[in-house]
Amino acid sequence: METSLDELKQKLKELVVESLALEDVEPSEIEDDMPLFGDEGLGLDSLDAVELVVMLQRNYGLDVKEMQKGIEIFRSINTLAEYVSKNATK
Amino acid sequence: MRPSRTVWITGLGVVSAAGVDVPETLSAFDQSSRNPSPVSLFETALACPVFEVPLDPFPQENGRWSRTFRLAMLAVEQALKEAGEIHRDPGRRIGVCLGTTVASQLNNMEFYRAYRRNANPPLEPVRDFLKGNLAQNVARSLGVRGPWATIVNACSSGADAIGLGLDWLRAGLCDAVIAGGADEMNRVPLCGFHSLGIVSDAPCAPFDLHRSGLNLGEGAGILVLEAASSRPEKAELVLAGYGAACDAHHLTAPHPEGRGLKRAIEAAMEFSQTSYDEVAFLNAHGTATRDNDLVEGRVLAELFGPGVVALSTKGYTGHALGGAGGMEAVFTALALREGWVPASVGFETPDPDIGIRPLRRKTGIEGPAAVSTSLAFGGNNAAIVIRRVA
Amino acid sequence: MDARMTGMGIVCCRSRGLNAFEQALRAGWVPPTFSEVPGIDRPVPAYTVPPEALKDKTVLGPMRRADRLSKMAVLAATDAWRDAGMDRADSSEVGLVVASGLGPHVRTFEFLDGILDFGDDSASPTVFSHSVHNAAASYITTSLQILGPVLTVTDFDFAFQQALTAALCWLEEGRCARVLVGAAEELGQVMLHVCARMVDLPPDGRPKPFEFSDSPSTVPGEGAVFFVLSAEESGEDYAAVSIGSPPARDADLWIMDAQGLSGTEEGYRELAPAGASLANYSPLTGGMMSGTAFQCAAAALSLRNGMRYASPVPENPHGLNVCRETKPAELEKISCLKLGASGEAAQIDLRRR
Repeated sequence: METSLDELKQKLKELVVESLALEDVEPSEIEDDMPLFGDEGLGLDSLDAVELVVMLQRNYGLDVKEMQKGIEIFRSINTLAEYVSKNATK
Repeated sequence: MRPSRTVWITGLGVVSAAGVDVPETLSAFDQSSRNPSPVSLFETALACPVFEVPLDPFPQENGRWSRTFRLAMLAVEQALKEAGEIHRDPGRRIGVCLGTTVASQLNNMEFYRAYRRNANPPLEPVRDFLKGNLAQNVARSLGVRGPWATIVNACSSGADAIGLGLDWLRAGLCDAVIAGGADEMNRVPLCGFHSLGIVSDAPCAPFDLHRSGLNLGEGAGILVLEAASSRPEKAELVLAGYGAACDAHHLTAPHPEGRGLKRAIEAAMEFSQTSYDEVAFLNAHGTATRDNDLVEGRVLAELFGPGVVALSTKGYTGHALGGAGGMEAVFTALALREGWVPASVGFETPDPDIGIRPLRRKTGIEGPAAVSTSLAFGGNNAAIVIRRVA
Repeated sequence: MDARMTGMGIVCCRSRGLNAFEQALRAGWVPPTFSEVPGIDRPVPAYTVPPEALKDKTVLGPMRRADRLSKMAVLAATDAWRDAGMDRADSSEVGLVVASGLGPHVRTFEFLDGILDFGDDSASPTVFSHSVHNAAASYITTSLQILGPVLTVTDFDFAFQQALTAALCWLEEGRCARVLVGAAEELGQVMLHVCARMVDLPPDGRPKPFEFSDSPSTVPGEGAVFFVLSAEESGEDYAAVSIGSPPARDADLWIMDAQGLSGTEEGYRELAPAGASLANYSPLTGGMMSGTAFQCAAAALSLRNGMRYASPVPENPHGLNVCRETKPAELEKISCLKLGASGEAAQIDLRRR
């Protein structure tokens, strides 16, 4: 488990790029507050959303059951890191 | 489109969690009874309710033939019995056109586990798999000569197989077609649909305001289709039309305005020369996912009016994937023949965003035609029109 | 029922494009690559699509998650679309039929990896949605915005024949004005392992397409090929294509569509009319379950170019008249004949006009 929030954010960026096969994106290009979904920012879609749910399950033992909750958690790397740091069981 | 060359529906066969044959199925529909329960056919950590067929079809063949094939043959035998065993007539060319998903894939766990351990994996599962695919195996079992094809169009496979069978007959490629679909309960799609976040922990509630996803099911639905030109006696039911169109939108999400479904329905209605006010009821795809029911419901309300009699039988059977289109064509034909449709079990509270209000009780129907719709991953949309001849 | 073939696109071991395939037809057989396969104690020959053939930012850019099978299919379908001179305005009147024997088996096993490694409740939805047989078709429709009917058919022997039949039926019924129809197969480690244990792979990599034995010797391949079929003539057509009734008659060239993957091939010995000119182009691309599609591509090029292409591995112990020399020839009709694992026969006829 990463010791600092910054390390966690970096790790999450790497996991996002890896699990979503974002070939042309370097983790460092993802800004902490950049919207992950929708046309601005990273432009992820509904299939990416459920893949991120699995990514959280596999890496942090987290189970995002409702997509409504998921939308808030996945808004940006910031919101993702906050959720993980508060709830991770791995 | 050309004027239709008549294709009769002369036999129906169906096996699902609702019943192992037509009488049992009608009884379950009559009682609005359903029995979702946890998976019993294999080991899984997933506890979601599913709709299994409470039967091991042709148990003596278990291990030699897949469950999908055995479910299909059960329904095929029922349908052929009703059609008068036409496959025994060597003078007739009989085609087999079936939809499936799981049966078409080499996904045997034991084989793959052994392969990963680099322990010479047994090739028996592969040989069994390569013995022939679903439609070919059925054709061989029956000893029929005619075209065959296995359609793998995800959730609309059964409907698309029926549509292709219709086209074969109109093109004169054969005299009759055994058409429909089958799929067994299988760990791979169970894990797959669960991973997509669209499987419900509760018994499914199609079109309901509080719906929370689908339940997987299994089964087979088969129609015997005969070209009128090869069969002098009239039948009661006609496969009047089929329409199909693609969303061209996304691998897993339907087009938000359902453009493919609209085109498919319009094509089927035109093909069958059926007017919208002749439609007695709709058997919708109605999987109970948030997305499908919203898109489908809106399209159906727009095309047929919000007051149209509509239901989803997936409340009784779960979503049987490749089997669904075949099963639902059978249910549609049965309802026209019997003159009633069952309650859309699982539905209680209308969703104001959707527009249609499925039935909450068994209802008598009026009108000579009915429509069955199927929407699939990958964006395929299919609509079948069945008519009852006076 | 017949239709005009107005466009073609191909991706195979000789790379992407009709030029590469035509060059292969002229140049003849080349040895396959050999690779180490888990659980097999000798190198396994195969004809694989080179990575550079699958690089195309414009077409594949929006498909970052796509598997190799889908990429091959989309590229071949796109090339066929362009070759036929089609544009987006046509798309609502276009249907699509995809044939595949084994479908996306690589992603299927990858999905099983996820279940076995992480558990039933942590499998990958992306991998799952690409492991279904109609994933390639879905990508083609989204890429080209095809709004007509779409079908994926699977069979171990006759998938392409069945796909072609469906396409011809649709044109006959007026379900669409044109159909994009084709085949796609991929290779992967697991299937190469299975192949090496179930099929007679020649140690020198040279298949025996005319041996017509009980245990055929073949080298597996992968690739995708698509055709645009139209109900109307356009003058720029490759050929008219139809489903024939075996045995073939009156063809200028018979393609014996022995791919080495359907069990015994002894039945081909009786199928070839005495003295008839024969060919089998599968050694150029590798044997595939829906490999008939590649044979049809060779036939279509023959007819359009006015060429009789030499059969790439012509040795035949049965004294058949196998075409050994590539030379100009105004062929009128080519028939492609395939035998299935249980002895059924299917035929596709291609005519110049």
